Amino acid sequence: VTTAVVTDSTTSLPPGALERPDLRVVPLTFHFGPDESYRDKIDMSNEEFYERLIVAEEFPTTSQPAPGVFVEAYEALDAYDDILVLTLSRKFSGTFDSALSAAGMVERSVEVLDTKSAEMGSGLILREALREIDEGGELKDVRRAAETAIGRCNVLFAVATLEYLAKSGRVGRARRLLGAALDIRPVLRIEDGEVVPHKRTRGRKRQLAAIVEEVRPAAEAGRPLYFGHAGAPELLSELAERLGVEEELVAEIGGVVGSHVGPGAYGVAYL
Amino acid sequence: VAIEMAFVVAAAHAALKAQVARINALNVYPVPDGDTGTNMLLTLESILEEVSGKTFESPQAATRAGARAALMGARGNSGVILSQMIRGACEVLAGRNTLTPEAFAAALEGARERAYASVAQPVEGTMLTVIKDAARAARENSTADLPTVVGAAVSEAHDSVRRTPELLGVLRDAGVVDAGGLGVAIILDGIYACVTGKQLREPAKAEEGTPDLEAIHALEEAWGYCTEFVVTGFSGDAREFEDHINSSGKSVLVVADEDLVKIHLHTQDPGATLSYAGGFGRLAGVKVDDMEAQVHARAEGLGDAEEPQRELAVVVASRGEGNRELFERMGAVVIEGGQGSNPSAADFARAVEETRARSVVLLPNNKNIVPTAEQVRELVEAEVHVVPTTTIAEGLATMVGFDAEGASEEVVEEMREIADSLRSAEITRSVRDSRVGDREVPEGAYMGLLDGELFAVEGSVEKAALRLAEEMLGGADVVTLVGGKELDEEQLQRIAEDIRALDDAVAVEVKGGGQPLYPLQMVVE
Repeated sequence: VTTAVVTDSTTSLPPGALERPDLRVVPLTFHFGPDESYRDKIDMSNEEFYERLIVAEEFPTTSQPAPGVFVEAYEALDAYDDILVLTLSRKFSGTFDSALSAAGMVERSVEVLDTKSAEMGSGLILREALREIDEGGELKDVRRAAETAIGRCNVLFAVATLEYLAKSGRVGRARRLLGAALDIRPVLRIEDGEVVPHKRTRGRKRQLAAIVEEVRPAAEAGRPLYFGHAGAPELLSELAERLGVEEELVAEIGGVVGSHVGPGAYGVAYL
Repeated sequence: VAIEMAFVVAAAHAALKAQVARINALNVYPVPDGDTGTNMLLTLESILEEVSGKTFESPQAATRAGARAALMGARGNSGVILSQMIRGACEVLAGRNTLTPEAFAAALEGARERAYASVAQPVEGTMLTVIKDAARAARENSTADLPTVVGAAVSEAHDSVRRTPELLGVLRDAGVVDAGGLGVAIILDGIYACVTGKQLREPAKAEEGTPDLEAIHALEEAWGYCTEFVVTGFSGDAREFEDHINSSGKSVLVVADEDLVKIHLHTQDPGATLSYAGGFGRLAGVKVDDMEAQVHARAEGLGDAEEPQRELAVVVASRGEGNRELFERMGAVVIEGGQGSNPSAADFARAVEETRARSVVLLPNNKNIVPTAEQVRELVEAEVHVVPTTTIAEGLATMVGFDAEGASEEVVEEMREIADSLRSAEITRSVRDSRVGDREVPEGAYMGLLDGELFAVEGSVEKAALRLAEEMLGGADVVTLVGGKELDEEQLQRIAEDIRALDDAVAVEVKGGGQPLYPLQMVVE
């Protein structure tokens, strides 16, 4: 029995993942105005995207993949017996629903799982699933590995401004940080699939220090860390250095998640 | 025995009032802020209000009332120390029926003890030294008659004031005696005049201490009947009366003025309160409003008018309209007060009670208000955490850590951490020629204070700001400028530009605070 994995484009892909025949990635799209649509991480370089994001007068919008795109992905994997789909959090996007309705349209064994995360978080979850496949696990083993990772996954991230999350409606329980009389650069977490405030800080240094403080035990214990940034690689290098680790896994956050967290965001996921 | 306190307090108050400007003018360190006299006077005024026109049934009742009023009304650093002296004296006098020479000497001794105990690091050459010397003189003469003992204490107190520059370098440099010490000596003058039967000027009525019913109405919650009335020709046990009224409702105010007592309270049973009060005199000006009916009419079924009890709240002392708005946007309750008009512990206590929170953080935002804030925990049920912020800008930056929905212990810890990690500076204008340390400070010069210490003396706010910024910027992340009333928007923006030009990695945030006396406050994180 063989198992393949489908995920969406907001999952940060660990090295080598793209070359795997048993993995398909379904893109979400982002839009600058009604006439310009781009597939996430495909149609526009991140460099260009963040340049445009900074100067754009209107915030870009994003949309989930159509179920048909998932159907194509499932059909392309007909060499495998079972398919596990890992999507970004249902609280961020309708991607999970697209994947699920697509599953009903094909005569295949497809199971859809909500990672309750995105980018580096879902990247680590995907990594665990692929590892289980490589060790010869069946669908139920792969699913269990993914579920375990979902339960243990932490994502901590810093935004340069809360403006983008607020505008996009993905601010979650961090809503209460809005409207502070002084500029704050908060540290946020993903908890149970939504954004929650971790610490209110002012200034880059405090923000970085707050992440370091929280992540240090995991770094010292040698647990895998997945770094990610939205057009801010220099902040990541500083974070890794402060944590005393090599940047082994580094994701460039694409246009879809980038539209929501804004330029200059960075963070780290760990299990 | 029937004890009257008012005449002694009135004598001390009158003496101090006559010299308050002189005491204020002496106040030079570290900023010539000039409110020592005012703070001491307001502290005495609150006692005078409490005891005037009242006869207490026992020394215990009288001294308890005096000590409590001092505690409630203490303003500023000097006011707090004075209130502790009064408390110490009251504790001794509670056990005496008459003011014998020995009792007087013991009272001064009690005052000295409490005053020294109230400060972490007693500094000599201040009001502490003056009370200590006066107490010693009284003890040495306590076998003489009362006027002689008090006279000895007074004369030694003034000598002690004259010696303060020998003990405290800053006074010597500035060429002045200690302001608070002089205040203590003058209060003793008043007491001397009183015991020797000298004619005293009629003390002026307390103008500022009178509670403003309008303002209280605007803040209070809707519950029961709002009941207001006056008892004229009041006779009977004032303490018992007040205790009874206090226990009959909420938002209680009992203001005594000679034999006239004004009462305001919210109660579910106004009839019972009125018939009780009728036993103490004639009732006048009775006014009863049904608060709940008013609220129901207003809310029109919009749900429960009662606010749920909050876990954590913040009360701040602040000055300036801009600062008030900033604090309120971040969820703080603001009481007006700062340099030049210190709030009392009672002002804080009232605000704390109005938050109805289980735990309350106090941000004094001024060095002289920190001790007042520390007293609040003795006055309220809520758990009080004082985060000793010394400027308004520091208070604003500390508010960033406040999260009304967070776990209160963690939030308090977070706010403390922020306050500890800040560097804070302020610029003020010297009101007189003075000398601070080895520096000449001419009248009209702008003094830049860094973490409370004089750092720069310049001819303009801009120059002082730049000097401070150059010192503070190393390793900084965010600079927040809070412009005062005397600084216009253009000047403020220009200062911000100058600071940005020093280091482009630093974020400079600019706010119009509107505080008086400090054209600029800044905080660096």
